[in-house]
Amino acid sequence: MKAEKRGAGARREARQGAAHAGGGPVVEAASLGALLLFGALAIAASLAPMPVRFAPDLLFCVLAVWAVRRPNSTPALAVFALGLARDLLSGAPAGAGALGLLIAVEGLRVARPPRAGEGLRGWLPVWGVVGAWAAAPAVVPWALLTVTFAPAPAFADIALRYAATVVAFPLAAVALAWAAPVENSSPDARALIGGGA
Amino acid sequence: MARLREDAGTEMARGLRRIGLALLAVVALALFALWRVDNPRVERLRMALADALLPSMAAVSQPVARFGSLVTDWERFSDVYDQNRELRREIERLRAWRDAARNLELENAQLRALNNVRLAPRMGFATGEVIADDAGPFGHSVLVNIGARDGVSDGSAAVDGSGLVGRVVGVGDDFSRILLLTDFDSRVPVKILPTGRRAVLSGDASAAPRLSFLAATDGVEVGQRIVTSGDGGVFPPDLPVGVVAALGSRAARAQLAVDHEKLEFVRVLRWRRPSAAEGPVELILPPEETSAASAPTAAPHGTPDAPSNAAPHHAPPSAPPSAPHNASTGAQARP
Repeated sequence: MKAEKRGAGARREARQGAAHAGGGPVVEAASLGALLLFGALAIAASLAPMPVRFAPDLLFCVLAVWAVRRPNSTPALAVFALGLARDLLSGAPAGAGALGLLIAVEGLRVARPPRAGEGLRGWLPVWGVVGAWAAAPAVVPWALLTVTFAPAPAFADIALRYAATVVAFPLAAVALAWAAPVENSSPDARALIGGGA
Repeated sequence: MARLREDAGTEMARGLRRIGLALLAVVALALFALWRVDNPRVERLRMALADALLPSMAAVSQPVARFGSLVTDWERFSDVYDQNRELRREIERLRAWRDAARNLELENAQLRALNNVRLAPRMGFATGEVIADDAGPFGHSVLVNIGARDGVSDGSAAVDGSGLVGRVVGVGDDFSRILLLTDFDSRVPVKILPTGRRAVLSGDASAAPRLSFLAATDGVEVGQRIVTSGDGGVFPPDLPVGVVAALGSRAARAQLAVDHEKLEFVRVLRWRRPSAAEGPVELILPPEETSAASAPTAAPHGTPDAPSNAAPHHAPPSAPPSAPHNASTGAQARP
């Protein structure tokens, strides 16, 4: 009986700790709003006419930073909506890019390294994991096009975009840490649509 | 007991979450399938979204575009002296061509007057600025700030000062999407001058698209001009496309006249395929009707800004020379 009481108390403390790390529903909502805002900015910036052939996937960089720092403010529905908006505005295969982003962000949330973002030593494994999952937004549309016998870009083009994205991720992380200085949240609190599940 | 209830709640939340993810994946795949089988419907969806979102996104994309143009300007500035020298040489060459063109124009006007030829007033254009550029590997298209309100229609050819840029594949009220010649889905019937060999310019995401269906390469040489053939009636004939860049055993390649990475403004042509002539009266008027033909005619699409092509035989011989494809164009510059 006493042990059960002690266990319940520990669980309550853990929940309170997670809630404290997450910052409560108001901070979660603000963080979600900031994600949508920065996602829209990333889409707008990537659509601007630039004299470069292979721009990095800025939207993935923003979502990856959020998935690592505040996984419970990175709901799958928001990721999907941003990915679909990007697909439709950019002329890319509709839905394929959104699916790739969804897979990448969900993979990042699951494989998020412990103590992510705490100092440079904490960021190196994060960069590695992000580098691994950054392939999904490029490879998934390529695979779908190939499977459906649609003309697909050369794999070298995909690789160049992937490399540009991996290189751009630390820069995006620093810029977002400066622009949106939000506290890291608990990796255990994950949600489909806002709030902790 | 409480722990059991909490575990059950967590399990249920996990299950719901998995179902939600699966549903989103299914929706994404369904949209992809729709894009594959019914592209025009997805294009309409794209343009509706562009009409709704792009005006508010311009505040972000314009500074980024300005930064890009700063980089481009700096690159141009670094070799300004070489460019200046090259431009002076070019001016000297063009002066000689200008004199030749004036002579030809004069001769052309005289011959048309002799033949009583009436040109069909079938082309106008709308000029727009490139406001968005898909720099990804999966598509090569740009968005321009002219749409249905400016008279742009699906399938219209888009050109810039150098030649053909692509064709319109989606039209919104205020925006249009132009599929570039380098896109995978781009197919343009062309002919190679002076041999007149027909081919299809097929985009493959490279800077030098393939010349497919080139039946024979006899007489075709690297450097020969490529223009649109007008076959199929989608594009007007004789729009400059580029030059033959390579002739291989497997495929010939074209070097495009337009640099797609430096596109700023494009003209979307409002052109209608000429209907088949039912008789000689359609093309050549008897002398007593020429005065009636010289009266201002209505624009073919009913657009007030598309000027009619007054019969050229009434035009003064000293009219400024114009390229064949825009001889009857009217400008509607968007501010």
